[in-house]
Amino acid sequence: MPKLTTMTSEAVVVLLLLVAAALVVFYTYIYHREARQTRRLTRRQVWTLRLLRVGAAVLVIFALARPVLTITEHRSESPVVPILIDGSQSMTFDDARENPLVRGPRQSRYESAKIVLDKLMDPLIRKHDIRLYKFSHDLKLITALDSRGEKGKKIEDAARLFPDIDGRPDAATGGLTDITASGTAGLNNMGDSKVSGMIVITDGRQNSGAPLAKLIELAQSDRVKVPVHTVVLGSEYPLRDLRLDDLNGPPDASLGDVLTLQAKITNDIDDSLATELTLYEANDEEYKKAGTAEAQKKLFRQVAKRPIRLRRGQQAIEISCIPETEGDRVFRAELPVMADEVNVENNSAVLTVHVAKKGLKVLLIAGEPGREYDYLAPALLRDPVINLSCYLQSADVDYKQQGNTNIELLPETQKQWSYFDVAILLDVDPVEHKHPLTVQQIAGLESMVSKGGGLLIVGGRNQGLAKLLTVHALKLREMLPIEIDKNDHPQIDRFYEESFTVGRTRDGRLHPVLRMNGDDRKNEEIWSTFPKFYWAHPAVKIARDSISLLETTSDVPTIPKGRCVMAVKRYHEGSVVYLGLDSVWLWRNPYEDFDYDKFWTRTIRYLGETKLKGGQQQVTLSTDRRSYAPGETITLQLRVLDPALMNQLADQKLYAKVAMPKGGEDMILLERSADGEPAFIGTYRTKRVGSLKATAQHTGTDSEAKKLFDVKYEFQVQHQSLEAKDTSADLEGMRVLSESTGGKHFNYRNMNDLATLLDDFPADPKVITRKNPVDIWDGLTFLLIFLMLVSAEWSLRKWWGLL
Amino acid sequence: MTEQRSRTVRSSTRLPRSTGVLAFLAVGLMIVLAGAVVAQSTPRPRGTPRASATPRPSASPRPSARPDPAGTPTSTVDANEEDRLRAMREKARGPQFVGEDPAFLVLPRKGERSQMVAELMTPKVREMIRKSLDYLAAKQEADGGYSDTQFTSNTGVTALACLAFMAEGSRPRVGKYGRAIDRGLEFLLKNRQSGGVIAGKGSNPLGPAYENCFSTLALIYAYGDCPHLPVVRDTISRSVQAIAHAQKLDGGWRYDFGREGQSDMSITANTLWVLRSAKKSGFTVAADSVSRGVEFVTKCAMPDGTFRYRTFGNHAEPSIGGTGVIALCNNGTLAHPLIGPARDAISYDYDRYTIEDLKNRRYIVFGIFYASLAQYMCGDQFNYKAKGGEVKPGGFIPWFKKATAVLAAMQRKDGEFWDEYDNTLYPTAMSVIMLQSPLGYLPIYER
Repeated sequence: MPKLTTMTSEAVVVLLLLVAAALVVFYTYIYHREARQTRRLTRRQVWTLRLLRVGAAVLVIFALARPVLTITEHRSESPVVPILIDGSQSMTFDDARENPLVRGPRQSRYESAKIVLDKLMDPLIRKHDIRLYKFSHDLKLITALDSRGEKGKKIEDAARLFPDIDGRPDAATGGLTDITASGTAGLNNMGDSKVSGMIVITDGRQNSGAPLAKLIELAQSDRVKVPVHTVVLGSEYPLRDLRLDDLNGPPDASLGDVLTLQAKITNDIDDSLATELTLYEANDEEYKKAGTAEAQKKLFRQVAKRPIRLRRGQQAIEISCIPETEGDRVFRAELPVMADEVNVENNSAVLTVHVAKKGLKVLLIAGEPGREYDYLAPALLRDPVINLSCYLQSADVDYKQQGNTNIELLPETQKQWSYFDVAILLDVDPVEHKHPLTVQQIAGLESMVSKGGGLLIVGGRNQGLAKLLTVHALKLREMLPIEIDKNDHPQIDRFYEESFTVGRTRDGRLHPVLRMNGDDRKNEEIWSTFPKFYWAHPAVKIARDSISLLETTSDVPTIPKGRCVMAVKRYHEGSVVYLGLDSVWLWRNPYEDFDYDKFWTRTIRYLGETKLKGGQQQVTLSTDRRSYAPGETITLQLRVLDPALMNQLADQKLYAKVAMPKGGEDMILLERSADGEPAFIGTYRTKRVGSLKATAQHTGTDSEAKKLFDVKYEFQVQHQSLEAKDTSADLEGMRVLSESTGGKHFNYRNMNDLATLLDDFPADPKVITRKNPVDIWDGLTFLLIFLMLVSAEWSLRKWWGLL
Repeated sequence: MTEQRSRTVRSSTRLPRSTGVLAFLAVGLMIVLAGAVVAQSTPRPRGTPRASATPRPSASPRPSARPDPAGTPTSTVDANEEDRLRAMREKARGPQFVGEDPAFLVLPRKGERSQMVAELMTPKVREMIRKSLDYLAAKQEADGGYSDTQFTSNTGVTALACLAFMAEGSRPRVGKYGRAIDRGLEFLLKNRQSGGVIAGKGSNPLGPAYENCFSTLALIYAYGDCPHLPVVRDTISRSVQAIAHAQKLDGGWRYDFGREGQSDMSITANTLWVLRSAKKSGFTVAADSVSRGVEFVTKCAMPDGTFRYRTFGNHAEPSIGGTGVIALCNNGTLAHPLIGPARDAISYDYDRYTIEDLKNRRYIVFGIFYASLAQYMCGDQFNYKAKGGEVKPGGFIPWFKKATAVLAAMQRKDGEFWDEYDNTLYPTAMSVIMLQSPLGYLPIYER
């Protein structure tokens, strides 16, 4: 029903009424004056003129009031369902095999999305209008379909309506996934339409950095109030991929000695994958000259292979070989290609290592040929890196001292001592033997150690360290990691018939020398099998800046509990180890000489590491991966392998320096690992692309500043797809999105119930009322009527002779 | 057949009963080092670089017609990759004489943690050991010495008892049997003679060479751990000098300490072993003594590769052949054609006979003692060639189990073992040394 209203305000209407009243008065006055002239007119003529004049006046007033005629219309509209389909690159990855929608051995997530669309479109289009969108970093409307009620047409193949999906290889090319921005845009685009719900078909792995909470907040708001339903393709597990993230190892290796490389492997294949890791070696120069990857591959020869069992996720696996050729060598670790592996390019990694003939020159000085000497010398002689020279003090004057390199006399001068890398004082006699240790010799020994050498002092029952300290207190007391009472000599007349146990201290458990096995549990088992001891060297307490590795753990009258029997100390650039046991040979039982040899050779290698590797390798610097995308978080880890060094660094601030490819450096603070690991961690982000070099070095706090360590690590920052970084689906994130907004969540586990999603879309149409205002006064008709009235009045008056 | 051979040895040497025992003992001793040489005879693969600074044995290792004596371990707890590789390299490099003296023999080690002890040292074996050691400790006399039925207050028996206690892990004054060792050493020191020989009143009437050898050996192994006995060094030194002076004109040694007369393979090889141990402990031994001793051994060689007991006669024993190998080994020769047959003969012997047969065999304890040394050195598992050419599995582990079964059948209630002359101390000492061999605490057991 049309309704007459006015466009003019009420005040104007009142004014117009006043004007009308004034006109009535005016017209009354005029007609009163004209009464004489109108007497000759008939009553009908008079009233005709009066009506015409009043009519014209009314029309004017009516026009001034600007009357409008409002016509109200009522219309019903189908509710809208926006469907957002993920068009990012990750949708080209394989869908989860467990998804019931997957037909055949492999099916991309995008193909699965088509099937989902097929299942949903036909029922939905009956009573809903559908808006199909594709999204990646933004939202793009593909098509808008009205409900079949209007079109009356069946959707034969919903996928055809979405041409980007159907068979187009570039269908999913988006380099980013931003569900938050796309969903927000989709909801905002709906305007006043009634939205029954929004469907998001995606793998859910948002990598734009935008929080999903924003979308949830919008969908929950009173203004929008739209449930968001999510259909997630893929699974919470990454795609099947076996990846060799990194290959780490020392920059230098000794010719003929074992070289151990650490491969960081990520297993996204199975929870427990049995496979093998193969190591190949090639000449670095030839490798660089070879132009193609195929030619490079031909240069390699296999040097090691080991079966491995991998749990899911990243883990470090060691593989060892013995380099037989000097020079720069390229080592390539390789994993086999698994069935259905998503990326086979990342199954290998290379590392260049400089191989040179190196060795540790070890001088073993023993007082008497005790049982330890019997077994120790062969244990050291077996090590290919160790070049041993024995010097038995008690030997006959004309005795030919033994070892790889025979010596006739002990070194005297500093220069002679500097020939050796490690010295072992095995219960030496400083005075009484034919070959006592002189002050000059001890000074030479101290000089050798302070310049990076190693010293192992074994306190035995024959001589004891008190005697040695009495003669050479000045230097030795400073070097020893233990405090010895110089009046507390071994009681040689006493019987030691009660046994006691020794155990590793907290630092000892972490120390590489005392790790008989890489596995902690096995390590504990092995240590529990070692026999008991009957004698230990007397000691007062651990020296400053030293750490105790072994101590007595049972109390007997002769040896108190808690006495340190092994300690280590860093002395300038070198290290000193004290051992207060003279019968470590008991560890030959129960595993024969396996652990015994291991203990000694590891101790000697530890002490000679500075000389062997050109620097203390007690720390390693690495990142969690070798390659990053710009802006990605890089985690730098400085792992301290030597508990003695960790003890020294415990309260210090450490920094790593990262050198940019085109100049410039950044400093990163490394903080102590929160999980108690002997490591310092720092995070870093950069947008610079190229090869970045991280360096961590530390200088001692003493006045004779020497580098405690100086380690380098190189990693790459390069443009790379964030889509491929994590190929798992974010089931949890999408579930939260759905449940928070009142929507439903579907993934490969409940995809068979997808039809139930249709129950959640109310089909009630939206009734829309529209009012169309029509201006009455502003028209030709109105003007013609007015003109006709004015003209008629004027003409009649003329006709009747009133003018 | 074994019995017959035993009798032949005795009749040919015409020794008194006690002398025969010691002769057998010495022969077995020789077998020990033969086994060691077998264990070292793994060939070096082609292309493996030699350690330039390391003098090599004079002869290359024997080509391995037999399986590798080092063998595969019976079981392992774990195998560290680095250890495994190093062991492989050592194995490829083979045994070495480091330095200038072949006394310093370095054998390749295993790349894995052995479970041999766990397999062999069963509770039953440990109980046998405990009873035997307690028996020995209880039988020690007031002066620290031991008197067996045939050998009164004998330094040789005392030295063997000390070695048995040392095999348990004890040292002079240290350990469960440290007190017994200490007293035993004091007894030995009391019985040193002015000429340097360590022999008491109960020594072999033909000469104290065996007593002196075992006593010197016990003192050498105790020397580095007895600071309270400074005289030990001088005693060993004088004994070694006495041995050097007693070298006969033919280059070998005999029971007596005179330079005249004929030497025999048994004592010569035994003496060369003592000299080797002395060298390792810092005592000067004339190179000429060793080379002349080795020369004597070569004179005993037969065309078929076996060795005669003396330089005359035609009869040769496989075990005596082992003594020749020991002698050659002590001079740096690792590859000898008799090494394999010597080891195989022991394996075959213990495999062939039943426990009852072996138990009733004459001098079985001596045989077990010396065979244990040889088998230990040959490895836990290896294949041996039986008579007739059949290749059979053998090795220290199966041998030890058989020998232990024999000893278990022999052991008396108090823990002692015995021989046919009712001696109980030296058989017990030898048996318990053998039973403790898997522990590897006595340097006579080398790998």
